[in-house]
Amino acid sequence: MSATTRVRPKLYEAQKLAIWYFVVAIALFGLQLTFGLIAAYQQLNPEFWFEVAPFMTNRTLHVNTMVVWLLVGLVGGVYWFLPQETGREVVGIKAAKIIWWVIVAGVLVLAGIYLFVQYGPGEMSTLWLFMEGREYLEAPRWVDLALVLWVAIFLYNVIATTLASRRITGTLMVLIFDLVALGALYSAGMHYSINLTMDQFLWWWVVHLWVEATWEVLVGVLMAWSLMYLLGTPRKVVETWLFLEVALVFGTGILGLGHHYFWIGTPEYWLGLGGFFSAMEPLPLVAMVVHALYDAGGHRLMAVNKPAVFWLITQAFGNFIGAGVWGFMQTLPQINMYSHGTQLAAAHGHLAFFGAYLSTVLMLAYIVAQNAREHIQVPLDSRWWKWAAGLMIFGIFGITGAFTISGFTQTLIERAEGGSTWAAFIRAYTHPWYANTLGWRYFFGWVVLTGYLILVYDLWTIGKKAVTHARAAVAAVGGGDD
Amino acid sequence: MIDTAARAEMVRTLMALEFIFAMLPGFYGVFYVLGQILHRRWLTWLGYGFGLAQLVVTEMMIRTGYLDTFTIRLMIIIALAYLVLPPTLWHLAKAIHRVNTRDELQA
Amino acid sequence: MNIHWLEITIGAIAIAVVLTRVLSRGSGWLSWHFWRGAMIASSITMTTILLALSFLTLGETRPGAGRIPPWTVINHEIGLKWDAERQWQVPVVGEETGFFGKVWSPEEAEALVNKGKLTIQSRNCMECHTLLGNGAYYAPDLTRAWLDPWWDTRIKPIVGAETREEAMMKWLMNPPQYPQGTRRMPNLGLTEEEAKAVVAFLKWMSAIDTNGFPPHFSLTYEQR
Repeated sequence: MSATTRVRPKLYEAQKLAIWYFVVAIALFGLQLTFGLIAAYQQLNPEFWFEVAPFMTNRTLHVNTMVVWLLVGLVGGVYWFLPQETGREVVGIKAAKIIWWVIVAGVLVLAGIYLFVQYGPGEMSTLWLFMEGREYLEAPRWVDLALVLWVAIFLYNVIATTLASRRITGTLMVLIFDLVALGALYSAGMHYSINLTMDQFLWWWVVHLWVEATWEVLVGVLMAWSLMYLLGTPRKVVETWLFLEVALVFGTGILGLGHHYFWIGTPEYWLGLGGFFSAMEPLPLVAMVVHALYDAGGHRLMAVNKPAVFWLITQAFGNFIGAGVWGFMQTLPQINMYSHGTQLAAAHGHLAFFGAYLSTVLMLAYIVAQNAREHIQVPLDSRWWKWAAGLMIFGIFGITGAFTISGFTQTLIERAEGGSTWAAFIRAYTHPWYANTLGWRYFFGWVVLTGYLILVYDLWTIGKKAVTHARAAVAAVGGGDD
Repeated sequence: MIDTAARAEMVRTLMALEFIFAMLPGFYGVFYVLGQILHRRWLTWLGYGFGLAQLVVTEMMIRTGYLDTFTIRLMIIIALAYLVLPPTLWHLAKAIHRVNTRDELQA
Repeated sequence: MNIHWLEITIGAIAIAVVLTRVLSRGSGWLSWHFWRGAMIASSITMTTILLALSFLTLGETRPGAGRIPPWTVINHEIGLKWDAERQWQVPVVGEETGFFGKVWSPEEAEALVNKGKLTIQSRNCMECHTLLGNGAYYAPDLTRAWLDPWWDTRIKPIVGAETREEAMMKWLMNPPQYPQGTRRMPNLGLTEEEAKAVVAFLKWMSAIDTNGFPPHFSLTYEQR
């Protein structure tokens, strides 16, 4: 192995905290996959755990653990890079640590509520205590408030650290701007309205504008830092490109929100606005691919951290294929009218989240793992990361394929032929093209889980060998480090 | 109002075509960029091929006669936009790298 | 107000471009400063347009404001008719027939629909069903559930109900007892009051003008 080792500089407290963020994120990822597998099995055998934890319970946990672990991973990434970016310890690190453990405890309590309470009476108190019951925002209000507090402290950390460092870089500017928007948008999710149209109108401000605007920009910032770290791309280039990305993401994504306003009772101008701007939404994703390939190509993939570079490239492509192509597929209003609310949306969701966010968090996890040891292995490499990545990517494409086929079937049988009634719905899900793909979904779910287990092993062991080598070398030479 | 069998046929045709329509600019962008990075002219030309194919698919979709005027306009605007975007972004990336790397070195 | 999407689109892009030029005057278009200007310009422009449009949209989506029915729609007969110009179905509100054997005043109707909305959220319905097409795709879309012929043809006889609202209420209070298809709905412990409210909410929802979603509702092979 041509890898060399070097002694790791002392970690900042924020970076130690970031390690905890990633440990929890990866653990929650495991939970997400477990509940996803149970839900997938319940599609095959609807009577499984019907009395104990029906589909709705597992699905709630599946999507909520996903949102939480990805967000935790992204925030963890910022805590990791922030001291490097500002050249100093994060200000208010004590508060950050306290709120972190509060959030972890809160997530555990919430998971308990989802599993064992499941629902409450039809009163306002249920929305505050147990269940808000809006997809992705199922968490009750007290969790919302805790989340806002968390984001607020995080924002304080970022702003105060930036001010203390007396230098604001382009990436920090974007980050602060983005976090303000992220926090503000979440408060739109705490709004109750009897009017379902108004409810969903604001609900999409959180769901769409988080996922397709503010999260995407947060990823852009983390990618910018990672490009500098992994490939040594000059700061000015990275920042200029980040600005371009943000201009495109916000330029297309904010009004791209219109594609959620086709059918919820909102006026017809949203059909055109949503159709056009969401068709342009792949644009920043293409820009990301171009940039990542340009930089990686220039370096012929010679990097300090091979798995991280691999996930960086996967992110660019995955984001583009999952969010871009699978989204674009159903974006024309005339087609979306039939495909809306079918399994096609789930196909898009699975591939897009994998490509855009899972890849980013795993890239960050490998950067953190490399530096978590006392001796850093350069370049970081192992046999297992390729297996983990290969199985997970193969699995997610299998799952997406199965969802796409069942979505196609549902669109044709239930929507186009059947007239979207209850009877048509039953006819669609019992159709062989739908029913048979449920088995594939389940199978590929296991493939992803296998990949996950290898990933956990790999993150735990990667780079450890370097430490042993280094110690041996030190012993042989009798002191001194390279 | 058209009957259900014709409706199913319409949805099937349009969805299949739109799927291809969505893939083509992606292929175009990726092959174009790969061709530029690896200095392989044929890859770039393959990219252009996908770009043109996208126009052909747009034409096919319009020819089915299922699309309303609004969608036809939308499709044409989108198709034309994606025809110029990949090379534009590539040249932008190149130019931004050139200009800003030089600035950084001078600084 | 009649707004056209193409004008907004072209206007938005034009404003963003002009604003970029203004913000990054004097710097080359490949420079760091230029793109920082572009970022600020596009964010501000698009956010402003979104806020303005939201303001307009929320005005047009108040209950009773045309696209969204008033709460008292639950007292009326509701149907769908083909709109040849828009090329999709639009809901039509018919004569007053009452709901659960009585005519609800505006205040009573609002309270009932509100209870229904709270119940739908507290029972996490969206985690299996879809409402206006949004949700979990494991169970049928409920946008036009009130108008589903299945209630009259299948559910009424098995639960022993006279009216559609009664059939829905009885079924909702114990769904696993009357399974439909291979997937069953769990018993979510709905009280009679809650079940009634959910039916009211579903009836109100079925009268929302959704631009034709779900397409060609209930027009199946059998009814061609």
